[in-house]
Amino acid sequence: MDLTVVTGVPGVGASRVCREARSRLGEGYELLNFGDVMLERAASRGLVGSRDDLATLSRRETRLLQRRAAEYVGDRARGRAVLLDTHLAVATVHGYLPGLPAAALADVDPDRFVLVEADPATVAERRETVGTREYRESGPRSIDLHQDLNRAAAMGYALETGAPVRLVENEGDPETAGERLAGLVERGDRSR
Amino acid sequence: MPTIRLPETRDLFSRELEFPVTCEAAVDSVGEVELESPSGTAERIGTVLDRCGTEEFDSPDEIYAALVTFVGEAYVGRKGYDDRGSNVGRDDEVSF
Repeated sequence: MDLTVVTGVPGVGASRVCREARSRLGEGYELLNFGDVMLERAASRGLVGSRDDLATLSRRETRLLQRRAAEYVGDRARGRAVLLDTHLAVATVHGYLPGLPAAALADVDPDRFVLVEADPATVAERRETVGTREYRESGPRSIDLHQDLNRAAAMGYALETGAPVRLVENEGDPETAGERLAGLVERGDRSR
Repeated sequence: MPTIRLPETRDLFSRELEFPVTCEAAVDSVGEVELESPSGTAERIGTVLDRCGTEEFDSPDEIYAALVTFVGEAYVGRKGYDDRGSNVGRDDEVSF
């Protein structure tokens, strides 16, 4: 049982880095995406039709889905090491919301937080090349703010859980960043 | 034949697929895996992807979106119903 929370602003490539890391980790590991779980639950209840719609739900619905998703992740983490790809500061129509409210954080029970970051200008450039996503905020300044909020959220959650915060830069190629993330996960797993 | 829940497909796709991936290649690779529905009825990933009409997926997010959209009716629960209740605490728990 070992759970690594990986987070990054939309467009930084955190999901790609997670995928690269997962391909380097062996049996006994599982990659989960918090948004996948929330989307499954929300779609089965007829609340949303797409991932981007999750950001338009009421704060109450969001919190409910976060708790259900966290319960699911907590269950999956029993008996295997989990790499959880999620947002610690979520850009919604209401503003930025915490990705892991207290009850969800308790269920997820992370062993470490990993921030995937790149220069805000790099992230803005990457967003330009992806036509399939809707971004709630845009421009280097808001990306910079979002990365700061992720850092603040990670440290806040670290204070609650005692889990350390690490940084993985994804300025260059995602394979290298994935290798670094896999190394952090493996070393963390062994040191428990 | 393995049966998994939708969120478990993220790990499956990360292990088995190289993106971008054609729908045909995805079906060849993971099409036999069955998706478990809340009602207990399982459906093959290949069957769901055959319905979606997309030729290529650029990322796991795209293929996951296709599964969520085109999974059978058995997967969709009662609209607006939550089997775990709706008591999520006070509305002022969230801070900006």
